[in-house]
Amino acid sequence: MAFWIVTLALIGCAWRVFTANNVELVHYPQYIPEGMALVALTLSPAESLAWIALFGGLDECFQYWVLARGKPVPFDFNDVYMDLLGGAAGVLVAMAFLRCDSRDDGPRDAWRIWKRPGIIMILAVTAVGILLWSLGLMQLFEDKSNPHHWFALSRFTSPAFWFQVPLNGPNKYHTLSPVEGPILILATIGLYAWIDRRVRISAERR
Amino acid sequence: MPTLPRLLAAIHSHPRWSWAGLIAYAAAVTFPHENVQWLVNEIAIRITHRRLYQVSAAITMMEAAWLTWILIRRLRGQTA
Repeated sequence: MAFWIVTLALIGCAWRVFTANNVELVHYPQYIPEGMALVALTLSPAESLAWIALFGGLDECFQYWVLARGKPVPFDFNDVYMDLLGGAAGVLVAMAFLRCDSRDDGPRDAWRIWKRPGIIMILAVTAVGILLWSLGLMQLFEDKSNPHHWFALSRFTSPAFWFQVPLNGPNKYHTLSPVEGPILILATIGLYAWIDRRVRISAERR
Repeated sequence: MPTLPRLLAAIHSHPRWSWAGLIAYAAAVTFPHENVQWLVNEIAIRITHRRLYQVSAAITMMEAAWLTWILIRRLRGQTA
């Protein structure tokens, strides 16, 4: 229940800080079924959220590189974060219907989370991103004077921390930068990994 | 037996089908993005953007209240 309250609080914060208009709230219910299905599949909240971040990231890739190709917009980490919180709500709802027992792992067992495929995938994506950036093949913000890059994670530089884009909606909001976004997403997955360490989930019906 | 626990157990015991279904769901909610935006805009034209934002917020808060009620009921059932 504590994590449910934390999740609702995070959704409230994301609503206030990252949301241009209330129609974007649809991100949360959209990812609840995915969160539920993923925790039933993986029996791990952290791995489920890693997969949610990857699915949400692919969704934004489609919008950034296909639908908004060439337009001055950022890769929308705000949306990925909303997807992640919707997925977290789904994970917690599904856990209420799965068998959950307390777990008291030794220090060796605590490392098992790093071996999960979803966690390996999201860390690999992060590592590849850092590698491409360090080689100059990926830019965080597009610099048209430097043509020697493959792609940029943002074609837009926000004028201030809080600002309003009238076309996007009535709210003043903050756009997560290509540095802030991944850090916040990984930190949130780390927060929910606490459940992995404390709770053993099994697919037996309650 | 309630449907949801049965569904979750089925998802766990049929991982290949479940991953395929999950990918199909992800594609179904990703690719029609422009169609959804068109539909939302049509609704906004009819009821105004202001009303649309109010309705969206109300739906979200009702969903949060409904899911909280479900969780409280489940947790009460476990401790009883």
